[in-house]
Amino acid sequence: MTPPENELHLAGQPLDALDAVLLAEIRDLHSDLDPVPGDLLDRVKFAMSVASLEAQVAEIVSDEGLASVRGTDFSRADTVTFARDGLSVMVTIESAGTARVDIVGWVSEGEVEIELRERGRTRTTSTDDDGRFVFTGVERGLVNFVLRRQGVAGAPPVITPAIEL
Amino acid sequence: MHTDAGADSLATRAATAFRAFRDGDASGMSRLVDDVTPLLWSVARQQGVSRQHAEDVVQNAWLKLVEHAASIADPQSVLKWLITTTKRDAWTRVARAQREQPGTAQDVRDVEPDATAPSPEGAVVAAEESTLVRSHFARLPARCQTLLRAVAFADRPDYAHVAAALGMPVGSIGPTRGRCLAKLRASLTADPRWEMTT
Repeated sequence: MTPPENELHLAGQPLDALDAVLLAEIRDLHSDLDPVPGDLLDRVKFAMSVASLEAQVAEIVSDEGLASVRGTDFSRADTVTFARDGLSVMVTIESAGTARVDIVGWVSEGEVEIELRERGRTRTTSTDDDGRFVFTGVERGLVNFVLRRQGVAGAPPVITPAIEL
Repeated sequence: MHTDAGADSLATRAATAFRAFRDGDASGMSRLVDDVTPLLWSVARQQGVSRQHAEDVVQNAWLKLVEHAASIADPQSVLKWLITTTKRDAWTRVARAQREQPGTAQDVRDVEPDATAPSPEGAVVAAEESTLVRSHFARLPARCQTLLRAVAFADRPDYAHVAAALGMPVGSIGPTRGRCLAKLRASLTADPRWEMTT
């Protein structure tokens, strides 16, 4: 079937404001009817981190005031302990104003480098002689940690699931 | 006209984040996942896979990007690579499901009758205009729905790029409107109810 002349004429014209409105409408209706699952973005990011680091994933072994760290109903963590292959890390979150927190942590063995991954930003510190480390002024939101044993050559990094601060 | 996408385009942001990622800075990838995943989700779903399989398809596309990072020669092609990978994977799953269960309906809306039904909140906020757009959009050929739904989640400089990644002919959409949007406009303009809302 030959398309009507009107349609061919329309097809050759430049995109205009009404096209933008229609595409926005199409976008909105699909976001409504068939939205991207709420936790897909976090699952993708975590899977990519693990894959690109060739890391081992730590498990959450205890949490206080932490109902759920995966899925969509994040609750505020106060103290969380992660462990993997004998390496464990306990992290305590202290409020530092409404938008920021301080993080104090202890690692079960010495000479560990800790990377804190915030949205779009990372910073790194090392444990002191007591296995303690601190990150101050961390923006609230989803974060995770990557731990690297400095003393053990060739040890894969350990990555923690994301927690909501 | 520039054939490559401009600065404010998904393709360019993808290229920048990917280049940094390959150089060891993964910080931009998180934002890229936020920006590009809705587009990949659209592509997967339009191939007719279930929501659950679409999750796997989209996650695999990103994982394959990490896995094949070293072999992608042109960072500017990363967006196209992600779209193509998603489409191919989704298509393969649909074909496999059909082979295993002959007679399975191809259109996901036949499998999941609720997929295009308005959500409870959606029904409340749905204005007359969007209801009209929805009904005319639903009458477009499947390939047009796939194209328009995908570009709706991209930036304007990306339209031609996205169309090419979906295997649509050059000129499907881009600086000119192309046939699919023209069809939608012609169909809306012919509807007397559309006049009332514009």
